[in-house]
Amino acid sequence: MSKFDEHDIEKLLKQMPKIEDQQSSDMYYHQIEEKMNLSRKSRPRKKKSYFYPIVGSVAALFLGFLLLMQLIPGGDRTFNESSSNQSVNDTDAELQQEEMIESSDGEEEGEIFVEDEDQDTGEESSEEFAVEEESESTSDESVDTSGFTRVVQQNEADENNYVTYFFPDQQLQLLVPVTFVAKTDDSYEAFNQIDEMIPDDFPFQGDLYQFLSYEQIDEAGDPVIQVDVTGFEEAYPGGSTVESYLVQIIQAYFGELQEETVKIENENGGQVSLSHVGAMDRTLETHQLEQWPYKVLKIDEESEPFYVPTNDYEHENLSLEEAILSMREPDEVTDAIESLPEDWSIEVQPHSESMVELTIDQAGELAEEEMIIGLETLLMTAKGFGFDQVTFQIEGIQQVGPYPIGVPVDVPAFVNPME
Amino acid sequence: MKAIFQELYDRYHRDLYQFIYYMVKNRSTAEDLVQEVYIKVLKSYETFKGESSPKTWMFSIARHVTIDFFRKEERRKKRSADQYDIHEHQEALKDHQPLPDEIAEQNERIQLLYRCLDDCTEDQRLVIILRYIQELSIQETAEALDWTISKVKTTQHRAVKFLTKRMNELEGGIADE
Repeated sequence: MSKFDEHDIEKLLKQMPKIEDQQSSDMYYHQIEEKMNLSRKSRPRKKKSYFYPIVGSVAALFLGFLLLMQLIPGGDRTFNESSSNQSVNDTDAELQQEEMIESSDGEEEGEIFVEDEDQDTGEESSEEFAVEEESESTSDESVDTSGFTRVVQQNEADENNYVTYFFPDQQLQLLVPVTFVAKTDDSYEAFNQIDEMIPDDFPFQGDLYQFLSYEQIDEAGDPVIQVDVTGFEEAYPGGSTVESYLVQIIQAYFGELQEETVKIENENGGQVSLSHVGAMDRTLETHQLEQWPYKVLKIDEESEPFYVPTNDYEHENLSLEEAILSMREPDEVTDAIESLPEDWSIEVQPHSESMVELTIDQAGELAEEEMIIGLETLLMTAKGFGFDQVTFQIEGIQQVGPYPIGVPVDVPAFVNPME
Repeated sequence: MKAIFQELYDRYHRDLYQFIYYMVKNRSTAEDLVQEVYIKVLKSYETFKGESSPKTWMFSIARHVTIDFFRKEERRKKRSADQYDIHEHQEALKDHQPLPDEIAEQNERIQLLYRCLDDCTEDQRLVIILRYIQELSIQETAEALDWTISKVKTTQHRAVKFLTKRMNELEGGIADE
């Protein structure tokens, strides 16, 4: 029998003692004054003259990279399909997966898949989701281009510069990633072009970007973002939540570009100070929307759904299993709804640091679009947990939309593409 | 500036220190972070428009500073994770972190609960500290955390539920031993 109930815990919490601070106010003031003076003295001055050589170098490197790309034979699929940071891991993962399938004694599904794959010439056509003719792995080009999807794979992204922007939803409760094809090859410059890309009927709060502009890469290598504080405060007087989102979209955008920090400044080159967030450090740490369960946001019945990472509770320490469980439930606080049917039972089995196997039970009674939504949100969630590939196992099904079942599928490079 | 500082110190320091201490559970880190909060507050004091109370404003800044600290710590730990088993090391650190006198003087249940706070998520700890230790109202907590009221309620509910479960597990474990 439980010793404590919730009422006991609340009572105990109220009894927690005050912890005495052992420093005096004078000591604090002295240290604060010292630090404030120091920061005034050492505040870096803008040296725009450094900017152009750096941009020149970056441009030269980029041109070099483009030339190098042209020298690589077009038929070399393995290069195209491996993102730069995962090729080694992928190879390892694939090798491990092959070994696992060949050698595992208890992995019946793996063995069944190998047999199925070898003789997959249409005998499974009666299966509801067995759509594709062949599906050896995601490293071929057997992608169902006519079908529904809300993600972009790396191999599809090679031809265009896809850039993911982040927008608060209308309720100011979610940060929704939306991917556009940028009009420039420079993903940093693309930050300033979002106004040209947002359609008139865009369902999210795109206005915040008008108060932000990417200026340059500074001498420390950090992107510098200028915040039009005056314009923002005129447009959003007293909006503490919107203030937070203004900061979050910078953090998420540049976090997605693998930047760890950015520099922020106001329209006069000074410190950004917002009424609720307060005076902000010039250096702002970015963050990626990691380890959050992806759910679905539906604007209306006609529109395509958006996959959205939700962090309404306990996201800091969620395991992948917990994240997947929560994907079966609508968000309690926001408008995001479940992305997985509640009767899906999913077993999570990581095979390496980069690959996880998800065995799905009870998955046979859904329309294909719902199945794809389930698999794609699972892929996005797994990506947030650091996995590069997911192997789905669903008994009796070989293919769901563009996704082969039983072989490793790359996690998407981008989510919620917008025409 | 001294006068402004002194006024803020007299009115809010105790609460501010409690909040940050219970978040980081280390006196010297708490002192550093408190300083950082004062610096941010003093720098933007002129622009504070009084749209929320100064107290929730300060907690809001304290929350940013503390979360930022955790992020940096996490990154630092990740960087050094190659050198040793970080999880083992963290567990060892947790076990050997001495209790502050104020907690050590309390009964075992309070001491256990103090330890259990470590197992809560950051969000849960924020809410628990503000709601129960600082005794802020739900509205004030929502303002300080920049959350909706329903999020505060949900997180609080889950936090208490989690702590109850954890306390029962640990008490059971102790009883079994």
